[in-house]
Amino acid sequence: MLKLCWKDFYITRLFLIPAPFFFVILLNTFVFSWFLFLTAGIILTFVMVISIPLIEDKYRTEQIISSLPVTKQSIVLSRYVSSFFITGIGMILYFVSGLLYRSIFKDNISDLKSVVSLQGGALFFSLSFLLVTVFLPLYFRLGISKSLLFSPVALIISSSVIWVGYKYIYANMQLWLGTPLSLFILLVIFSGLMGISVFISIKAYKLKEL
Amino acid sequence: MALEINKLRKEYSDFILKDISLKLPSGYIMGLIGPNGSGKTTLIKLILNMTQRKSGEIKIFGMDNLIHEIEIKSRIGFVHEEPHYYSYLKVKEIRSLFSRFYVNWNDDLFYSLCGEFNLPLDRRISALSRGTKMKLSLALALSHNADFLLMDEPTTGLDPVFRRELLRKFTEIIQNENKTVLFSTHITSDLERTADYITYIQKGEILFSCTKDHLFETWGLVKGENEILDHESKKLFEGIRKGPYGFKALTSDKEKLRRAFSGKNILIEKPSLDDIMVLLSRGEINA
Repeated sequence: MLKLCWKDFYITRLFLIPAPFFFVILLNTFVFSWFLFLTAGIILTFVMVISIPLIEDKYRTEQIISSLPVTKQSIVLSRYVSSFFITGIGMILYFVSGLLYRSIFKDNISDLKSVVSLQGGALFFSLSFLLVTVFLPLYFRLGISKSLLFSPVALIISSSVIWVGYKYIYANMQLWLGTPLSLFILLVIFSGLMGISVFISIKAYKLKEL
Repeated sequence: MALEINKLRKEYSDFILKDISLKLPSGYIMGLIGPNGSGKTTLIKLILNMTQRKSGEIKIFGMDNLIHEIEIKSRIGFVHEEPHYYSYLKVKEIRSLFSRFYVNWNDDLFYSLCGEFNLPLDRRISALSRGTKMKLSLALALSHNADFLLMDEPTTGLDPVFRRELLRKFTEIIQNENKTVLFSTHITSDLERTADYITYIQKGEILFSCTKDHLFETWGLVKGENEILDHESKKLFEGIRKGPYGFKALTSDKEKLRRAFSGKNILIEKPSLDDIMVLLSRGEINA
């Protein structure tokens, strides 16, 4: 599986190298709104994540890759690992950009404070995580074009559900159970979501005609 | 036995691979022939587990290809009809990418094959011709010391010079090392030159799978006048083509036919694979 992850980075390295430049330049436009700054950061990270399936799709390499000594299951799992690793890189670039602009603009822009904070990071991580867990099963089932079409819709629905859950359930849960236990439950929910996502992806990819 | 397929079945909405069985001993070349859409590529994909079967089993070197997938694929060299690589990478980068997946990868062998095939290591894949890409594909398939070469129409679209070179290479591989080759093609002359076994597949069914020698010893191309054909005699043929000056038919048992038509004016010749393919796929069968 690690060989497949290495392959993912090897084939996308040319596209990932300029990523810091794009983060710094593009996020500059959105420093006046934490919401736009966050959205742009998530979109840029997602573009980095989808560069792997986009390349595979463009060069039609799926057959060659599956003829290597790997299983379909390991192809799916490695794609998850690579995607979350890239999400991690995106998160670092997002924070670095936030810190950079905060040091440039000092406290003139109040929105930057919430960007570079624990809540800002948690929000970035949960939304990016959700995007990847929604996108990958759709990609393995429907292919790249359709998955890109359906992912935003699926993301809006699932993030709305999570927002409602956070607003009305998590707040009460924190009151009754305390923060550590509530965070643990949240972690379990996220792990469950990922488990379901991986399961659907493996099933879909096993059925796929290569 | 290098390859053993038992009652393999795959169903699509418009095509069924019907419970096929075949055996290929180690160290031989088997040619898989049949018209377009007959199921050759589907069979190869099933061997490599690229598509899910409905039922049946595939054993490679005695191991089930689903249970021992990684072990089996490590010993297989796959050459695709149209090899797709990351076009922006260079030949040497493709080597670096693929070599990591094989425990038995041999860099010296890869570079020696690159030299033999005149492969430019620093050129990008996008700048390579189809023939050169095929050479690269073959070099990659051979460089991990694969015991079993699986090739899907490797000679299609290649110029005759390179085709001959490729076929010479196959034979050389078999003669020098104990490797097994299964390759699909619809260029029958390629098989006449190299194959030990011939498997004919049509509409998802194997019509025959035997040694080339057995095929040419027992099968015959029969020519005669249309008048001698009647309902009973037609049953002796696998395929018949009638023309204004007589018929041309294919039999799988020359001796039986000779006895049945004794005293009648017929001519029995050794068929070419082209004759077999044309008469089986386009001929009137048991009409």
